[in-house]
Formats: sequence, structure tokens, C-alpha cells
Amino acid sequence: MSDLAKLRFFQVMAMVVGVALLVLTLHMVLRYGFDNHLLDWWAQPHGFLYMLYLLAVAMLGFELRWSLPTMVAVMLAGTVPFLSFVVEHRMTRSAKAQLAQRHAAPTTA
Amino acid sequence: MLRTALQPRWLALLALLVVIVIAFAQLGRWQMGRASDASATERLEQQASAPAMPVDQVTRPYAPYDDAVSGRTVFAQGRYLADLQFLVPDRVLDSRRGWWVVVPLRTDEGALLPVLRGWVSDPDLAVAPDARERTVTGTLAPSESATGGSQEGLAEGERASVDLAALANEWPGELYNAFVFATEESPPVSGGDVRPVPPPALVPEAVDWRNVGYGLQWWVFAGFAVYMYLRFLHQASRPRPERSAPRPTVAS
Repeated sequence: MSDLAKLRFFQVMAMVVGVALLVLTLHMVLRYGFDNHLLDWWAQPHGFLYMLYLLAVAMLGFELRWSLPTMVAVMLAGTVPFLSFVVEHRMTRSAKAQLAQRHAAPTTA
Repeated sequence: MLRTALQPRWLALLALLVVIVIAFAQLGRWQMGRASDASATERLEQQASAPAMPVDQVTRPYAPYDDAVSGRTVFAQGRYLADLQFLVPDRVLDSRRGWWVVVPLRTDEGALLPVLRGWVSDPDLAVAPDARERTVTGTLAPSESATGGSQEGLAEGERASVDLAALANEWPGELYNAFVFATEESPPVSGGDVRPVPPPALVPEAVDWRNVGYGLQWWVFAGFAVYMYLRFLHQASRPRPERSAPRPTVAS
């Protein structure tokens, strides 16, 4: 996968997990606040989506040589409602800058 | 790579990794345990197939409830205290809503054993049993939980659940910390139409795939943590490659 594709994958997964997490939050509110079990089934697919998110973060992070704390922070951001959107925005901006520099670098190809 | 791994920073990270992996593995095991508790199943089956015994050989009044008691077939001799009979509404038998009929049996030893005599489709069918000496056989079950606050809306002579803690406060004398799903009353109680209730399913539910899924997820996370550690260690143990080399990119 090219570095740009990795960035794209990360962006998509961050968005998906961000929305998925909001649904999970809604499920928690319904279940523990109103004893409503309508969304009980959601926890399982959310776990799976989060795994894909971890994979996407790792792929992009190793590509761009993020530090371990950065990597872990971005991964954990996927578990805080709304924070994932902010982090996705920031990481994408810095990643784009990094990639632009890389692709602009003179190559002998 | 080994030289890097032995640096204090990386050793600390390794320790953290070990803690994380152990924690995740335990969480996974716990979820799997919830999915199916093989040993519990086996024990319950054994208990269900054990021959009927006098109740006093299985449990004693006020004895703490022990899982080893669940599903045991017991018998007791004594007399029903019809005055203390009560009904539990909203109980379903064969998909019909009705009432449970519960009455204490004063055993010959003088203790009270709550007996679920059965189910009725109408409260009028739950006639008070006569006080003849009889032998009651049935399956032991733990107390139901108290249903807080839902006592309102109950008719006279009704309780929201078979809550032995509450009964212990209100009934005279010593109370067993379990109640019996009666299967046989000898001699039978005449009159009324009280149908026996089958004891709660003794075999835990079949494997719950949702818990298996959670369990597997924790193990995947644990494996992922190991992978992350190794990958970072690998990266740290070799010098940064120069970026001047042409990088193959698939993007055209």
C-alpha cells in the first residue's frame, strides 16, 4: 500500500470509528440510563471496527515514523467520543505536509 | 536489536508490555469463561441426576447458599402453613401469564422450607392446602432477588418475588436459605388447580458467541501490543534510513 493510500485508510477508519463510538455511547446511555437494550448488538461490530482502526494507525504511523507515545495517543483517541475527529484532523494535516515534502524531494527515478 | 532491548528504557517498556499482555489475556479468558463454564455445567448435571435426599442432608436453615445446592432433588416431611401462602404475579408457564403459589412447609424438625407448589392461571385456583402431614419432593433453587420498589400495585397476598431475605424477616421460625420447586406432594393437596412448575434450567445457556467474540478481541489486542513493541524495537535498533533514496510509490 502506498503512503498516500495508508493516509487515506487512516482517515476513513478514524471517521468510521468516530461515528461508531458515538453509536456506542448512545447504546451505553440507552442501556444504563433507560434500561433499553435496543443497541446491545452494536458493541461487537464496534470492537471489530476499532481493531481495523488500530491497524490503520499502525500502518500510517510506521510509515511516517511516529514516536511510540504519538502512536499510542492516536490509538487511544479512538476511544474518546469526538476526540477521534480532532486527532484525525491534526494527524492528517501533519501527515500531508510530511508526504508532500517527501514526494517533492528530488529523486533519481 | 538485543542491545537496544536491554537498555533501561526498553526494559521498562517490556515490563509494561508484559503487564498489558497479561491483563488482556485475562480479560479474554474471563470473557471466554462467561461464554461457557464447562465445569459448572458438569457439576450441575451431576447434581440434577443425584438421588433425592432429605433436605437436611443438603442444606440447613440459615446456611449460606452454596451453588452445590442448586438443582438438588430433596424431600422433606411436615405440614403446610396455609396462612402464610402467597402468590407471585406475572409468572409464565407454557406462554401463559399467571401466578406462582408459594407456601412454607414446617418440617418435622420445626424449620420453614418455602415450597413453590406450582402455577395457577387464576388466583382463585390457589386454594389453601390442608395441614395434613405430608412429604414434599422437589428441586432446590436459590432465593430470587428482591425487586426494589415494585411492591406497589400488588394485590393482597401477593409478593413481587420469592425473596427469602424478606421472608426470613416476616415468617416465624428458622428458614432455609433455598426454596423448593415441588414435583410431588404426598398425600396430594385436594382441590384447586395448581400445576407444578419445572425447575429453572440447570444447564447454563449454550455457548454465547458474543462473549467468545469479546474474548477473541482481547487476545487480538494482546497480540497487537506485542507486534507494536517488536516493530518499535526493530525500528529503534537500526539507524534511520536516509530519505534521499528513491521510494517506490504505487501512486502514479
